[in-house]
Amino acid sequence: MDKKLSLRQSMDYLHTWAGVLFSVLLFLVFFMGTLSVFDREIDRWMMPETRIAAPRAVSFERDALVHLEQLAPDARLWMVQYPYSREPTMSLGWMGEDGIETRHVDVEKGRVLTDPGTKGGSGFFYPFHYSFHLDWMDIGAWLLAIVSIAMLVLLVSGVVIHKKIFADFFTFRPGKSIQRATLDLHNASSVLLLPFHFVITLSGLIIFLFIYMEAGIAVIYAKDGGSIIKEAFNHVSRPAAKEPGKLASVDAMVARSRAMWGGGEVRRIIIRNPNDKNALVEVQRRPHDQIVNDNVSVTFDGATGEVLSQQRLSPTLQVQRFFSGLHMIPFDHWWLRWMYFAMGLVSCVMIGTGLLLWVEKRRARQEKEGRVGYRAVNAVAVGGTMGVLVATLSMLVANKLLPPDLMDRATVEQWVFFAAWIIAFLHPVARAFHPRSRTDLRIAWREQAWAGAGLAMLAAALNAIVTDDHLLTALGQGKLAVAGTDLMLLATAVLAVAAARRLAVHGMPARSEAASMHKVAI
Amino acid sequence: MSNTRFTWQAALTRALIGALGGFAAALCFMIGTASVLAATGWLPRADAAIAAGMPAFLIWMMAVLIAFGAASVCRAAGWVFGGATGFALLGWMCQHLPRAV
Repeated sequence: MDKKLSLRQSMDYLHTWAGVLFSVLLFLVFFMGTLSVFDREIDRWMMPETRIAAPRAVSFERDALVHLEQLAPDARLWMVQYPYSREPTMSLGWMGEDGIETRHVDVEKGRVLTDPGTKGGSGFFYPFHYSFHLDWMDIGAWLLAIVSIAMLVLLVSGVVIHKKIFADFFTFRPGKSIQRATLDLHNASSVLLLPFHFVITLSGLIIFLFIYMEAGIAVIYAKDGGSIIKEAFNHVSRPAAKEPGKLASVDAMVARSRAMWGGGEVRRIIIRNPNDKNALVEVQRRPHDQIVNDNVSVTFDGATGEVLSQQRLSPTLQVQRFFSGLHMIPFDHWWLRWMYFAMGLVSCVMIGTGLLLWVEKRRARQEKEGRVGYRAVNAVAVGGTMGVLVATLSMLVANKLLPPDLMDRATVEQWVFFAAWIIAFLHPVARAFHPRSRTDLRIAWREQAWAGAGLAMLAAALNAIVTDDHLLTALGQGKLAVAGTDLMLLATAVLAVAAARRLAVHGMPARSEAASMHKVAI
Repeated sequence: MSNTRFTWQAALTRALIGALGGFAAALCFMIGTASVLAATGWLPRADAAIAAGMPAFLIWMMAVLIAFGAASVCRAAGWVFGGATGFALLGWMCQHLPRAV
């Protein structure tokens, strides 16, 4: 029988259960998103060979074409990512028979670097953030849509159920019991960053508008079978002529594009059918000085160098690209980048504390009734939050320990992440149901906090030993990406030790105290 | 913690209405609004689709909130699917009526 609940009661129910069902996935998305803010810096840390200074001048003919003609003369598509301060190597990509292949080029030395043997931050953590590495039929993207809608629902329902939203903004009592501090931390982090949580989630959905609303677009375009991409982006395409052709000077096309843009740097050059008479060269601008994530690309006839089209986004599409830029931070602004990182961490805290509150609110009652649900959820909370951190740090350690010439090294590294994560889930489950540890929910948290601290220290130490770029050297040589990552690892270790020690001192409350928390909680 | 709760059947039905019905409502909103914007000549077709697609996610979110906030499952279904039908009709009218006129 469907009961009649007041609006606040029904929103309370929705907030509670949507929270417990989606929090692990939400934590994963926010944690990986937070790491992705510094994905290029993590790349430098994980790929020591790419720790070079960004070149002053780049020439397509001199630095890219010679290598592409050797590496992929028959490819249908070449992609050249130009270097900049965060990504000092030039990245060559081509569509081979087995999909997209890439190589890094040290432009100053004019040499192609060996395969780094890792996917790094931009190849592993970043795609994890938006696809969970589930690419088949866009399952990951759809899962992300459901998780994002759940997040928006949680935010709105959280506001509705709060009786004292303004007072909660200023309430934090870390000296009180661990449960009260958890409740305050959940409320404060939610209220403080409510606009950020809402905008970052909504903008994430808007980025994938063309995937999620594909069915609707198909209906709108059903009459004449047109293409929204062609119409909106002024996209030029033409089939290969199947006749050999020679590329005109791409550097001249770059110079022409810069003149058309009125300044700016090249982000990427895409060449379709490179050695064909119908070759197309697309020059994209790096949006380093604007929020709108707009490449303003110029497309040239590859053989003649004639301009075929210049992309000019309509105001509506610029709004969509504005949300994309707001989410993906394509612009150069270190303070804002660090703010995104900090806000991402606060979001993780909000999600983790929400899960903990669920456990604490039910612990006394379920203990009394002999139910084990709270223990299972506590185990999932440990594996889904601390476990993700432990798995990430395990991957960083593996990055330094695996031999460089190991076959499929990047894949092995990835499996280390997933193996560590599975263990990080099994460990709290074992703790939850082991007779000697099941009465104390802290044990699994504490042990994983110690594991995280150890792994973070080990990763920083291994980086110093294996690459000779220890913290002081990296700072002295201006390798800020490496030094920053090392500092973050050390900070993680310190925080994890502090958390483990606090968990050892302040226990989860006795049954009576937990029962009193029932009445206090929202 | 609130002691009030839905039965699991009611919660599951409301969740399905919110998630699936909400997605249908969002799609219908996008089609209906884009059709109106394009038919009235306010925006070109591609822009109309993008302009309507962005707020469609808020419709999806609101559908989930309505599915759980409505007094009964029937009312929840009525609001969500009724809204979706309204938007779909609007889209159909905009796409077909001008031809009839």
